[in-house]
Parts: sequence; C-alpha cells; structure tokens
Amino acid sequence: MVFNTGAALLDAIVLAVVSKDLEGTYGYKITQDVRAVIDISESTLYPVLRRLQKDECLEVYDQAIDGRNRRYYQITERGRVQLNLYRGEWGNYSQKISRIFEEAKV
Amino acid sequence: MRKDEFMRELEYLLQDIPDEDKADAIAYYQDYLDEAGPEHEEEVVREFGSPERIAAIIRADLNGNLEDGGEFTDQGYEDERFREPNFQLVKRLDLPEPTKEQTAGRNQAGRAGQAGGSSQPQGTSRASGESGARGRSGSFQYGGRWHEGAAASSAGSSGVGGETPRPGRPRWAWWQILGMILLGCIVIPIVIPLLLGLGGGVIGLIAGLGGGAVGLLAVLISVTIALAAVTFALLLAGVLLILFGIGHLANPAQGFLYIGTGVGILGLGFLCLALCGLYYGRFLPWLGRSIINFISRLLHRKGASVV
Repeated sequence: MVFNTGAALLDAIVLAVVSKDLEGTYGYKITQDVRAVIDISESTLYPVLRRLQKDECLEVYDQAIDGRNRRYYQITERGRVQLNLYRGEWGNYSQKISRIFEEAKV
Repeated sequence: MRKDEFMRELEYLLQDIPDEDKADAIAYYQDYLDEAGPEHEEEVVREFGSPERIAAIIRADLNGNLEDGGEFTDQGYEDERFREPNFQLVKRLDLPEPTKEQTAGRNQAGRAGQAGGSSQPQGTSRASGESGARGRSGSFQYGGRWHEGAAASSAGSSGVGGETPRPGRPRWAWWQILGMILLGCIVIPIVIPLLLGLGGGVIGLIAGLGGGAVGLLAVLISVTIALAAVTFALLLAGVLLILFGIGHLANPAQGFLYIGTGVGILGLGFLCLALCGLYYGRFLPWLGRSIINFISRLLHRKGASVV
C-alpha cells in the first residue's frame, strides 16, 4: 500500500472491528483483525484503544480466563454513532475518488 | 527477548508514571503477549522493538503529544521520535523476501524518492523536520519497506554510493596517517601534564587523608583528657559547694541555696562519671581493638599477596 492511513481512518477501522463482536473482543485479536486489512505494527493499537476509551467510544471490562485477566473492549452507543458517521464520510469520499479513477484515461 | 524479560523491563521503565496508567499499560501488554501465545511471543516482542520504545510511546500518549508527532501509515504508526537506530533492521527481519523486495523497492525507489522530496510538507511538520535533518526523508514517508531502495537511490544521487564497500581492514591514506601524527603532536603535550597533574592530585589526597587521621587522633586525645577533667571538676565543685553551704547555714536561705546548687552539680558530675565509665571502659578498648584488627588485617593481606 502506498496510501497512508490517517488517525481518523484507523479509529474508524478499529471501531468497525470491535463492533463485530457483540460481547466484546480483546487487544491481540483486534490487532490481528486490523492487520488483516492494513499493515500496522503490533504496538500501534494501545494508544488508539486508549484514546477511543477516553472518548467513550469503547468501554472495557475484565474477565478471568485460564487464571488470568483478559481485557475485553466493547463498542458503546456513542461509538456506534461515531462509527456510523465515519462510515458515511468514507462512503462519500471513496466514491468520489473511485469515480475520478474510473474517469481517468490510462 | 522473552516475554517475562520484556515485561519486567517495561515495568521498570514505567516506574514514574501514575500507578493507574502504569497498571493499565502493563495489563494490556501482558494480556497481549499471553494472547499471542508461546508460538508468536518472540515475533511479537521483536516487532515491539524494545521495552524502551514501548515505554516512550506510552509516555508520549500520557503527555498528550502523540497526535502531533507521528502518523499512521500503511506501514504502521510512524514517529521519528520512537525510531531506534536498529528499529529499521528489526523491522526488516520480518519482511517476506529480500530478493523480491529489493527489485520491487528499486523499481519504486525512484518514484518514492521523488515523491518523498516533493511531498515532504504533507508529512507532519515536526517529524519531517527531524527526518530531513537525518537525511531519511524518503524512508520516513513511505515506511520501512522501501528504506533500502530509497537510501540506495539517495546515496547514488549524491555520488557516494558508486563504489562498493570492501569488507576487511580499511586501508589508510597518507593524509590520514599524517593527521594521526599531527594529532599525536597536539595530544601528547596535553595528556602528559594532565597525567602528572593527576598524580599530584593523588599524592595530595593521600597527604590530606594522613592529615585528617592526625586531626582525628588529636580530637580523640583531647576528648579523652577533657572528659576526665570535666568530670573531676564537676564532682569537686559539687562537694565544695555543699560544704560551703553547710558552713553558711547560719543564714538558712543562703546555705540551702548553696547546698542545692552543689547537689545539682554533683549530680551532673555523677552523670559525667557514668559517661567516663562508658568511654574509658567500652569505647577506648573497642577503638583499640578495631585499630589493631585493621592493621593486622592489612599486614595479613599484604603478606598473603607477597606469598
């Protein structure tokens, strides 16, 4: 990929990934799911998740698994609203870009 | 680096941030590595770069200046401030194939280099300034993948990269040798006096220590004498005052005043006497023993080393 992924787009992708699991998902899995789409490093998401949590787009809860705590991230109502906004914006943006490429004479 | 080692170091590096934030970060990374499992653990730790790098990211996030420093690229989060000298190398290890990579990189290196030059202002202001200063503009903008190609192209354009570096011992040109000799001529007159000065300093230090020891001894002797003298004087004064008071009992008020004062001073005298007991009976013998032990140990060690 030659195109950069901006902070807002990364937020949107993370929100979308988290929203797929209704009962929540955890840091490692979120990273791997995002990595399936864009190439981020393993250390990228901690600040992003924290920011989304601070903005109340995500909420966390801990659950004991195999004698240790696993931290689950879950999308909030506010997160859904935000995700919806991102989705609309992206649809608009990508459509225009796609059109200009289709019209281009190669 | 293994998981436990990584976590230990990270925890150590985060000692000074607020407990809550620290616990949160530690829990996240611990959980992350646990989830990665033994089979991916090492790979993940390698991609983290180092505990220092992770700690720097956490810290920057806390200070709220993560937003304006770096940016998310398709190669991950890029921030010059968190890039280690060998981070690029670390990253390159998990690239798919070096040969295919190189050809692909070389094809696009030209374009990337041009674009990197022209689209520089589009990058974040601070990071681009830094990267520009370090001469890695192209590599920053486009992540780690084309670093090699971009570096090669930029090196080629500046005319240095033409010759292939030869492994083994470098040969010295005549001007390098001349430079060394000149350097020697300059350095030797500075270093030798410096060493002499250091030697003088050491001698002075030893003399000072000797002087200190003498001073300490003088204090010890004077204390020894003074304590005995003060004790004796207090006892004597107390007894004399009491006797004087008895002599003046014709005037009871005056007499009792003297006697009372005498008793007080006598009490102080006894206190000093007790102190004397401790000092002469305990401290001095202990000091003597310690000094003798110390000297004998010194002699002993010296003897051992000679033998």
